[in-house]
Amino acid sequence: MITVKDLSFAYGSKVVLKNISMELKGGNIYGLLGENGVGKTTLLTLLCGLKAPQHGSIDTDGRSPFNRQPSLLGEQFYLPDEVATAPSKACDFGRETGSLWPAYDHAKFLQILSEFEVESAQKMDAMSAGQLKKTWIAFALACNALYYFMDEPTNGLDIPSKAQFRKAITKYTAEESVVVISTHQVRDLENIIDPVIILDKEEVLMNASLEEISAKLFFDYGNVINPDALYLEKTPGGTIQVYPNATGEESKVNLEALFNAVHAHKNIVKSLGI
Amino acid sequence: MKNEIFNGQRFCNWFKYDIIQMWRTQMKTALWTGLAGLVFYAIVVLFNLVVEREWSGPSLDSRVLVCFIAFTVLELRQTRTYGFLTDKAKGSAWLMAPASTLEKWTGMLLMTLIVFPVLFLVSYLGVDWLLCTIDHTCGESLILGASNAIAEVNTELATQGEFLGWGIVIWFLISSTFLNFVYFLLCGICFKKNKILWGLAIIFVVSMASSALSVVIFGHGGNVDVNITNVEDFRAMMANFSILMTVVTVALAGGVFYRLKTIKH
Repeated sequence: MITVKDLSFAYGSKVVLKNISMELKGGNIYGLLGENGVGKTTLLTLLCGLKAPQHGSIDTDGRSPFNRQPSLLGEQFYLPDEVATAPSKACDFGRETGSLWPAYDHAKFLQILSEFEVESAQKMDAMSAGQLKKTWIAFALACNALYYFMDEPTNGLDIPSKAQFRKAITKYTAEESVVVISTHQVRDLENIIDPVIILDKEEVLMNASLEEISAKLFFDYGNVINPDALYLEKTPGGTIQVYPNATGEESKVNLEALFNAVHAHKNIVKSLGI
Repeated sequence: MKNEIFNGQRFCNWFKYDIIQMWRTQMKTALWTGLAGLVFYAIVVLFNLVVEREWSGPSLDSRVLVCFIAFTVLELRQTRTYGFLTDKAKGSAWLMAPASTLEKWTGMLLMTLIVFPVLFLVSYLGVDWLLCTIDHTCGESLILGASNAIAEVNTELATQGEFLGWGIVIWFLISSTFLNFVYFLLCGICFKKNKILWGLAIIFVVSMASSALSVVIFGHGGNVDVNITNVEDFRAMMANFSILMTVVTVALAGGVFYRLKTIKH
């Protein structure tokens, strides 16, 4: 489990995160949402230990990520938005780099590569951006880590690859894994993300499971306009409306509508206690 | 409990990985730099054939100069060996690899101070020796030339009842080499761009500052009148310089460790 307590971080005088506290529990794929520049990447890099908290603490099973202890590094994987190329074949890269991760499984790496339709004999510095990203995703999953921090993993992937990514993430991560995915492409990951963390300027606007969200907010896909709607969007087949759930009736959460509703009515959403 | 500071097996695993990656990226360049002597030989022979109409290889003096230039290039290139650490994608992948900072640092120093210079010297001096063996117009090889020069000095000194010795010379050479290599390694992992320029600029500023300080403290600008009357003084001077360079090298290596410990992306 990852425990974040009173975490603050600033770039010079620009405060990005202020007194953030949260718990990230095993068995969940967290979706980290937020506008550009609110600190999603900063939070991910803090969680994996590429940055040091300026105030507060991060505790990953009793260890501080910025200490970069080998035992923790071997249990986690950080996949940045822009991945590095390498002057080697994908299969060699996997075997050589994977030797550093205690639980790395080369057969699994080759299996995921094949599912992603990436040639394992292809040199990584000759790959397209999408192929390179898929190679890194395959490698990350083959490391059998407990903690995954992925920054915009579907950026650069074509439509079939996005579906393959969703499938691979659910199939190849362990039940007790904590997966944190930062993304703007909510539609790409809508079916796998749960819970949802919405970051706003300096703070966490929401950190809740889909069940908790659905209990407090109702997502109406009908044509009757509700005057209490926090968010309304006309779609070809009707509308998507988000309003406080007064009846307790369940509905399917639409992440894009949720994000827009939360942003437009921050105080109302906070008062709902999600 | 797992050893989080330094584990021998994990270090071997890491160093093996690092060597493979370096072989794919920087080591080939070091080998090519090691072949600079061969290129120089070809150019001189060709020039002499065209202009002088005779087969004649480069002299020992000119080959010493080219070797010195190639070695300087190798020193400057240490800014690139681990320079990728300041790159967001490559640097974060390296930092997030499971090995301790001490293991990564040890590997880094072994690579910079031992692997690269040895690779260069073996290839450069080996090629030079081979060329001199095949083509006698080149004269002595660099290794033979250097050992003869030191032996000559010692023979001269021996007539005066003095002896300089190899040890002090080797220590002086190794400490100055280590100092330069570690310095440019540190520049490589500290500066994001223009790593060599920054490195040279700092040397320039430090030289100016030490000269200015020297004027204030000693009343002269650092141009010390060296008045060595015997070998003992010369040996003492070399030892003092070697100690100073060793201390600075250790401090810079500490700086490399601190940088690795605190680098953020």
